[in-house]
Amino acid sequence: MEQYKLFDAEHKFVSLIWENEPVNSTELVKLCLEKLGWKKSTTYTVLRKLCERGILKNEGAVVASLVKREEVQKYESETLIEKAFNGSLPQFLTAFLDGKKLTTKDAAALKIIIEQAIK
Amino acid sequence: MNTLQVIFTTVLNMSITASFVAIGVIIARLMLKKVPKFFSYALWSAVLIRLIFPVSFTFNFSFLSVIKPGTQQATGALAYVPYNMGLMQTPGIDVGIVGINKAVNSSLPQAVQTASVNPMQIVMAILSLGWVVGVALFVIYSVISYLKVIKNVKTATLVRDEIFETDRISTPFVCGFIKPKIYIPTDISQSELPYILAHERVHIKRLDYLIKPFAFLVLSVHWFNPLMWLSFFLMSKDLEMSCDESVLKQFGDETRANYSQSLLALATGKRQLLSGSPLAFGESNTKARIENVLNYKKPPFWVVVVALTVTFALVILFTANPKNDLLSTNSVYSGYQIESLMANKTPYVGDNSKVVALIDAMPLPVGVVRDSVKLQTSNKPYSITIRYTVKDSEEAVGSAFSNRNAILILSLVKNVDVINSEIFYSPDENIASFSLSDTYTRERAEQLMGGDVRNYSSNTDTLITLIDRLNSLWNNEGNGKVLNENQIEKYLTTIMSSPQISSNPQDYIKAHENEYNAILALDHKALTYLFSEFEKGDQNGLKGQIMMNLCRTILGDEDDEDIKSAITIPQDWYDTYKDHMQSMVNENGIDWVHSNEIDKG
Repeated sequence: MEQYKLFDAEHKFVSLIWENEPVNSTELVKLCLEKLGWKKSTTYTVLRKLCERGILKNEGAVVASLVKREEVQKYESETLIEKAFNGSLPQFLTAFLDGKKLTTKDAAALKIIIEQAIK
Repeated sequence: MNTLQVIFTTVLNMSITASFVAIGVIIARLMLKKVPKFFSYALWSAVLIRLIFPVSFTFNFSFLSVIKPGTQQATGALAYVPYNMGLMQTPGIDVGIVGINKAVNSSLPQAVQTASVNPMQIVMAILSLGWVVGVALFVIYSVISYLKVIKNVKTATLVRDEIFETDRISTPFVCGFIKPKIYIPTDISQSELPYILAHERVHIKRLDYLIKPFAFLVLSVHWFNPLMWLSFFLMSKDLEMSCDESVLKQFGDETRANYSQSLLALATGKRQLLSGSPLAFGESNTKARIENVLNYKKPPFWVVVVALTVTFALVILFTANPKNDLLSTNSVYSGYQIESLMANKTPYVGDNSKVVALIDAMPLPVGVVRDSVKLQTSNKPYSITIRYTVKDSEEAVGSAFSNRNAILILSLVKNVDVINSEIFYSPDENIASFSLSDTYTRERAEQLMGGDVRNYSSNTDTLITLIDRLNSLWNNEGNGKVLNENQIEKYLTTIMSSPQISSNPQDYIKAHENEYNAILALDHKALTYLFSEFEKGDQNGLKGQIMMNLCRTILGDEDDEDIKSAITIPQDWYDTYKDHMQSMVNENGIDWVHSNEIDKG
């Protein structure tokens, strides 16, 4: 699971790929320069590192992700709940919803998620 | 002395000057406490200038005239530590503060007569080596820390314009030399961001991202000076505070509370090791900076004007060298810097800085430079040995100037007994270098001048009288006719003195190559005298042989084939040569001879 831990810059970079994959590496360099202000060498260094970690793949100059956005989100939320709320989901929800009103739509969506989780 | 030691001595002297200036700045800062910190920051430029430039302009008003630093060289550099430190009998420095002079000088090793190397020379060699290693270490450290920072912010992502964010740093800073960028941590709160960006933009506008690393580089060169570390620390503080003030001016006084809050929030906590880069927003000094921010009031216009004037005046005062007697032009008499001579008059030969100052206040012929000065002060007779080097002199240089200077020193340095002058010639690649030495004992000088020469040093007028007398004794020009004649005669006598058993003139010449070459160095000027000796007739002895050798060598090609042929008796050679010249004159006129043959005049 540790492999999903992404630095801010890495997260932004992988997000770019999620949004545009599969993407030509030349295209990616252009994209990174525009959105992240990165030089070509920086883009390739980060790309190489993330490929080594099995998060991205670069085959024939076409870059795509090996890990889905949801998997990273899962890891991040679990780490957060573990770290800040002793792994307790109710505590997290309490803190998250503190003072906020849920819309009926959101509440219905949550309900379905919870019901599916119990099965 | 090698180049490294020369550089080290220069750095050492700059460092000492800068220390005085730094103390001055620290005092001035206390007075400028109430005005914007920009003025304190500007004052440090004086220290920086002193640390970089070994020479400075002179001005009627100088902060340093309070201290009266040791020696000011003709180049405008201040020298507390003499360049020939390693060669001195009793090494010593003069920083202008008696206590320090005594403490340092008593700890310096004295020269040991029997040792082949002066211990001070070894000390200076070790110190300069240690210094250069230290500089290298600091530079390497800076480069490595800079590269580390660069590596950390390499993946920082663009926010907008020149602003980048990354989660690998904890405090905002400016980095880069050509196109500086502002780096901010990703978790920075949006309420603090405007202040932080404003602060960093002031840094960029003021070129602080260049100034601070440069200041650290200079500090690396002067790493051995704790006062410079203090200066760097205080300068950084003034820099940040003036930057804070500039932000407050932009946002208005009412933002003071919020701005202080931001400073506190971003206080790095850990104190960073003083380093040239980067310029961190939350660096250290948080407490002092918050106090400064809370106390800040926009100063009234007149305060700014007064502070600006005072700061400007102070920077001039701190960077100017004191007007030195040495440099004032109105006190030069016949090339001698009279006031400097009187000011450096000393009862003790051991006072090396004064002795050296005396020697340097005396004129030298064109092409001659003063080399080393050695003092022998451990036991009587006390002596000063001055070495001069003749470099590409157009004119032949005699020893008149060294004789004049020797007697002047005997007059001005009360307890010196002997002055040795060594004149080192290296005329050109055709003639091997050689040296001449002459010794003036006090007795010899008294005999020559008919009394105690020290009486002449009682006041400026008597000193000028002495200089006049010396000038009339040895032709003022230093290479005039009278001098040359005396000199050549003296050399000839020396050459003829040994080895007495031989009858071959070449043996005598070989035994005294120095003197022989010295006459050759006079070139055509020597001929005048040599010919006048031949004119006396009957020069067939050893002297004649040597003189013929000299003439024929000097004449070289001009010595006609038919004269050369088999004539070995000197007087005969001269007479033939003269006849030949005479016939040339008769045939072609005197002008032709002047332009084609030698000038006998």
